[in-house]
Amino acid sequence: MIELDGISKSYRIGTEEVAVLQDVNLRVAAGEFVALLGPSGSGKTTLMNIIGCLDAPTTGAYWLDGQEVSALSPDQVAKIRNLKIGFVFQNFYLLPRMTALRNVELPMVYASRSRAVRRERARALLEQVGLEDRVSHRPNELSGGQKQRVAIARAMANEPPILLADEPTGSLDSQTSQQILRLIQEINVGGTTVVLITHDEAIAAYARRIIRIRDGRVESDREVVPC
Amino acid sequence: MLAWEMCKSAFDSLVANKLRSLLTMLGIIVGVGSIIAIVAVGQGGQQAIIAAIDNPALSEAAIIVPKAILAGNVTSTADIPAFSPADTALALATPGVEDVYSTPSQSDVITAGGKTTPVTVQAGPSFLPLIAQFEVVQGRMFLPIDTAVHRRVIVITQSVAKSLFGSDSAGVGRLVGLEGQLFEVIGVAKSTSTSILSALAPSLNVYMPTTTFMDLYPSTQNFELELRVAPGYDKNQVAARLIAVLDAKYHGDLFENAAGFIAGITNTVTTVTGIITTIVGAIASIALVVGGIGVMNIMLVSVTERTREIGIRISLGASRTTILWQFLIEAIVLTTLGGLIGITIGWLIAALASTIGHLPSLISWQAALGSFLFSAFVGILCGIYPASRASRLNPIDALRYE
Repeated sequence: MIELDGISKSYRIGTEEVAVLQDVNLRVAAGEFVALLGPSGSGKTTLMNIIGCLDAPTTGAYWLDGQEVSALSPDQVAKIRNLKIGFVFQNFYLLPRMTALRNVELPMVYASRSRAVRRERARALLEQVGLEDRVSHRPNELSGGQKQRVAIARAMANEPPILLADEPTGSLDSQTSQQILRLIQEINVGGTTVVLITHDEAIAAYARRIIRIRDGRVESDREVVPC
Repeated sequence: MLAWEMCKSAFDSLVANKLRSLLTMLGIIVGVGSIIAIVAVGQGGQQAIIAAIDNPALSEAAIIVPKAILAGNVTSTADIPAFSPADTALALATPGVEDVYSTPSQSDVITAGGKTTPVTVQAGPSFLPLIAQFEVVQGRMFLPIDTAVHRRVIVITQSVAKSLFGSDSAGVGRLVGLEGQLFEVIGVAKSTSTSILSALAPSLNVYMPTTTFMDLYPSTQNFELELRVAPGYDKNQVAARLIAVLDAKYHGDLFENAAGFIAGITNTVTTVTGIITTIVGAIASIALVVGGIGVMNIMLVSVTERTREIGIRISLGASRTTILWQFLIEAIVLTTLGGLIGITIGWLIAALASTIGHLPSLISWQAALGSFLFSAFVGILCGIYPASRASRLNPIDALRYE
């Protein structure tokens, strides 16, 4: 369902052309749990941005569910981000003035769901991530782990087939990290494709397939044997 | 539904920055408020001036005067043809004329019990209260019989009663002196005029029957014939016929119907006050433009401050149009809210001005609706640029923005 075909991305910094991604070919099937593993500056975040339709490749084609994304209009791309992709970021990116519930509701607002449906689903999601007693708290009243749970609940609001997590445990302690990764594993078991971006081998080990990225190229791609 | 959500979120973000929102709105509030107040006082003042000029008696009577008086270039009254008793008889004989009267007046000094006060002596028929806009609150008005027998009776205004007898309800039955002759006060009159002029300067008037007046001031020349027209006749047509007769008698194009002349003045006053109101209102709307610039400025600041938020919203699936509307609605809410507050404050100022300064005010719903729509328009105009900047942000840069 995710198909990257000769993807390259370069930025112009001053007069210099800097290549971030070079000829990346990748195929992720529905229901997979893939880790994109690489050191900082390897281009893994750029790759995630392209997969998440936040960025467009310089050359190459990105097919999502058989549709070439670069051929779509900005509004259609917005719709894909809304309905097909859930994002989880290292810094949570919750809207500070909104309660946890309203944060989780937001993707459903953009999907024009009715208020009643939104409320009910947002409550159910917060309950699933174990935050039923934090529904009307604002982000600054939540711990890091709780914030990331809210972010995960929000990412799953429109039941997207793909979850993109960019260093989801980067700002968390190891115990909380473990809980968050378990939660992401559970979501994958529920049938959602998960792409996890990390620089940490131990975190990548939660995935069932590890793709190593170095200097904008795919270095290796292997299945993890569950232990 | 999305529109409702966006309105709500716009309110939320304005409430989150209460002081800033209020200060931003201030320009719009001042602009709209002053326009409302100025237009209200302007229109009220215009109506007051017209009411002062437009004597209600004119709606029933036609007044024939020598043209030279209206032209205003009279050097000596000797040059103006005065009406003689024969002319009055001529007027009475004209078909359609029910009654002919004149209302000459004279400045004089009235005395009573050693006190004196300067007054205007105004002669007229028994229905003078209707023409001169007063009502007799103590005693009685003089009657046609008083006129017929040249009776020496007068009605004084409350301010005359006050300066002569120390109370504005005293004086009925007392004797007063005018030109060395004695007159009996039979009534005290109170002005019924709604014009600001009568409220600011209460008139020192003495009213008496025309026949008595002519006895007292025999040299008075009568320069006006006021006609009461019988039902079924058009007063202007009757007046025109009489003017033709008078012109023929005096061999010249000498007389005019003053009603038409006053209508002309009224039109001029309306035009002039309208122009003044428009000019002052236009100056006030500069405040609105300045307010609009303030709104644009603060929206640009808001877009910059909330760059990260915009990035997050885009990642959650907000389209460019949605982001555009979010900020546009915020600007419109800001200005229309300011507009509503401004309308309220302007209305309060106008009400206050009319209470304290005896200035009549007239709040027109057109001005209120116009200001409301205009402030919404200012919101769109000043919100569109910041909003389009927000909608064109690159999501990755926006997310990374610190």
